[in-house]
Amino acid sequence: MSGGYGRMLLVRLLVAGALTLGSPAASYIGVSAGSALAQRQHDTCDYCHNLHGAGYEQLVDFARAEDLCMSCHQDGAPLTYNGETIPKGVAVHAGTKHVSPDTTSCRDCHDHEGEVGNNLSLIPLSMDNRYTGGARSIVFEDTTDFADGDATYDGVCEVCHTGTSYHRQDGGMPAHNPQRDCVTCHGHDTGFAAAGGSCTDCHNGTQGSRRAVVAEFDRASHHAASPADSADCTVCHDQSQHQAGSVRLWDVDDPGNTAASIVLSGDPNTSATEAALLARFCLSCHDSDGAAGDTSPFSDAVTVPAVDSAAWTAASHNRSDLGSEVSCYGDGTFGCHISGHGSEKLNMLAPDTVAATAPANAEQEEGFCLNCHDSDGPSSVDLNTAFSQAINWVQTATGLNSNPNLNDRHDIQYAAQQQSGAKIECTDCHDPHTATSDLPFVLDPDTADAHVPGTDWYYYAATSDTLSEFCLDCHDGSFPTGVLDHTSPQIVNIQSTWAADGMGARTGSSVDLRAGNGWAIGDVIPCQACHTTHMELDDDIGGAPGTPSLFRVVDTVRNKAGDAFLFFKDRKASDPEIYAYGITNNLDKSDVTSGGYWCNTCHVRLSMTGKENCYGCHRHGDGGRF
Amino acid sequence: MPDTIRGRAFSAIAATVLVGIALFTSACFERAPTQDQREPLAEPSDPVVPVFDQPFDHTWLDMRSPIRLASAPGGKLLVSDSRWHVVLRVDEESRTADQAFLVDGKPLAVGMRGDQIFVGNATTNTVDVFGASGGFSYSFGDGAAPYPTDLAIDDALGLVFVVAGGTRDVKVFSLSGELQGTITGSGGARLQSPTGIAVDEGRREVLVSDYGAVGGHASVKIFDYDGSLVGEITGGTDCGVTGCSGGFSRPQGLAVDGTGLIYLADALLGQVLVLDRASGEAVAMLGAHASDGGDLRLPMDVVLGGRGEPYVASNGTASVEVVR
Repeated sequence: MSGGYGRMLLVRLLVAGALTLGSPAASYIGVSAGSALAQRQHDTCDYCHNLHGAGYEQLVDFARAEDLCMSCHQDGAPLTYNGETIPKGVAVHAGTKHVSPDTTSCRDCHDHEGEVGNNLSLIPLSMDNRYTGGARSIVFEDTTDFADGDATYDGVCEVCHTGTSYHRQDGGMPAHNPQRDCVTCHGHDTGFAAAGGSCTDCHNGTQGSRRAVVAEFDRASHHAASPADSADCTVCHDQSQHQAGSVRLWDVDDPGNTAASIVLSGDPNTSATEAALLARFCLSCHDSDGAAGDTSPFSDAVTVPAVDSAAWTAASHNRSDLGSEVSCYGDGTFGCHISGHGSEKLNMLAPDTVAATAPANAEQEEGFCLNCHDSDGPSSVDLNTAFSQAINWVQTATGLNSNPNLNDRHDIQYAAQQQSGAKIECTDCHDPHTATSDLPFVLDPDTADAHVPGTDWYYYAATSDTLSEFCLDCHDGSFPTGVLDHTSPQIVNIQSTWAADGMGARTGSSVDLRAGNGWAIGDVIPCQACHTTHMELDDDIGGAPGTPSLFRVVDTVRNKAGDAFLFFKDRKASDPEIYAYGITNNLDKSDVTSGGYWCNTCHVRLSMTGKENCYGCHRHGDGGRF
Repeated sequence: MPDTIRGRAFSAIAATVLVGIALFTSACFERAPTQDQREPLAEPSDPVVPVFDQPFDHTWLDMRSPIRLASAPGGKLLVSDSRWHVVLRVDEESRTADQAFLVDGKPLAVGMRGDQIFVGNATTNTVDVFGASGGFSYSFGDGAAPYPTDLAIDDALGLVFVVAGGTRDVKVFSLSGELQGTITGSGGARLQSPTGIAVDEGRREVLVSDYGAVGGHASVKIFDYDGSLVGEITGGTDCGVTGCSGGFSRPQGLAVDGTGLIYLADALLGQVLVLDRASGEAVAMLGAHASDGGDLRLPMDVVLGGRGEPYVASNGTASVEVVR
């Protein structure tokens, strides 16, 4: 209502009332006399006031008075009146605030006493505080005057508030968005509960116990582009009980059905129980049909990564045996992804801050996978202890392989990547949402090449084997997205040298294969016969137990059947764990049980005895000499 | 020449019409429907009971701000709820909502023809057309009908009459959304603050409720399909922000029946007036304001149900009521 109308009101009441009293009821054209008399005259005092009430407050018929306001300010009423636009959407005085018996009427803040003075919108010059008693002066001459934050406390919000978190009339609580137009967020239509502004307007700062979240969308990985608008927020958040003490998230395949919403009453970042509630929410969107068929539900149009929920159910990481302690969401110990808003790690992994020694996203392993795959679990596969061994730069080799940037392991660690320039992450080989002990690897890391590993990871034969195909997906010189090349192509591009160097397929007789292991001239040896993929503490080639070896060479080479380890019985102790062979330095015979060569497990070439370095002459990609 | 309308405003209106008949023809209905366009369309197929199959929040069924009503087959009503931004399906018998579909914006006007539901969207200033399942089909009137507070449909001719609050007129569209013309009134009968609308298909008349202007009078203005004023029922006079003197002062939605009766919701009075089309007289006053022991507060629309009973969107009580 404009100030002009407001100031006209009292005069109109008096004048119109007088006119009505002097006017015949028949002025209502066409209405029969009885019907016309049955009508209450809208413009008389008794339309809003009960003439025989005990006091001023009791004199007002609140319902009638409110209807008078709403007859113009409700949706569906005229948009303009006498050339002025009428504000709309002031429909409901109900909600978490300003509810009966506090108030049910517009008149609590607006009445025709506001026609006097310079206050806008029929705001009176003073108001009785119903809790503390006594009148408080109000200055409301601009929309910055709701609660301006100064020590006068004469804003229309401040004069009454005694129990709010901000802007109390005695200054007992801090100011909050001073000099802002309060009804932008605390709208009439919500009973002045904060719901009128956009989500990002309010949640770019702390709101009570809620942390500021808008900036989280600026992190390296995030849901929705930054800054996310309210429409992005409500893809996930059910606002039907906003500010009611819980965070409600839609089942996004059934949006709008509040009965299906996931309700959090605690903090899933710190509570495993709360975090466990979120798996259903995450999977409702991260599936083949996204959010009710929309696979890019946010304004950034990014396609939702799909998770095979059936595969996840059977996945090793779905630790249902740990009950509620494992979820999609969590702090990195009871769940993997923290904050639905953003993380400085890849894929919103927890914790969401950058590890101290690496740039964003670089520490997937050190900062995440190895947190669980360590000596105290919860995983039974301890990789952290082995990978914590000093990185064994290959500096002892000679010739073509004396590259000091060549690591003894897959370059998953930040330090290794810095040294070699190569880069690979755990998730380039493993899908944490599907991996099982039977299917530990992603099915086809590089779909752009001809290598399709298959699924029988423990199968290998003379003509082909599953895991070798998997290895060659990268070691053919072309890489999946995100995997970076190494500076030593002899190591990386094994595929290109496979035929040339024989890889066991040589037909010459000089290979001198030892009898009993099953291998024959012409066989193609699977990668896993000689190599492992991870750092493992029993890879003690070339040193004491626990010493990393060159290129993950195994202690004991597999025989052709692949179901047993070979031991060169003439030259080993009974315990293969301490059976130390040498490759790069066969003169190192410090261990009393050594003295043989790792290569001699299969090859009978006693003439090599005393040669200090097989690898100096024999290796992948060296003109057929391997 | 207007039909017989009695009332204080008759002389002025009649004079205006007589003097300015040419002006009405050319200006009020700026682009009148062609004769071809007026040819009756094929009857809509068998009435389709709206059964919304869109996902919805069951909280919406507890309506918050009902604005307009439309009759639907199968003993159902359609209700626009400007707070929830939905269209609800309400059963006439129980007067409770059982289904809803979401509108991308604030819905005001609502109407149904055949298997199509037309919704005036005050956010996008369009008329959005949905299927009987509540699935969005298409929009029209982009910007041409700002703040579409109410609409009425001539089923036979396939015309959609939309009250455009932003331009204070009535836009006439074909079913596919082609603008056929504009009804503005002129002179003393210029639409000032139009709110509700109904069509009398038998008479080919458009009835528009109007708050009037400051110092003016509330009214129901009656136009023919050419946009010429053919009658006016005058309500309260000397209108201002507190209402009008005598008579109805906040006329909202209205409905007409086949017997010449006009049902008009007065938002301020909290009642439904039954006006005789021929005489302009109120022959009945239905319902009562909650302060007077009735069920109505801020009635925004009235529609005749399948059995001819007037149903009212009572905004202040957030309910649909039947009045007798």
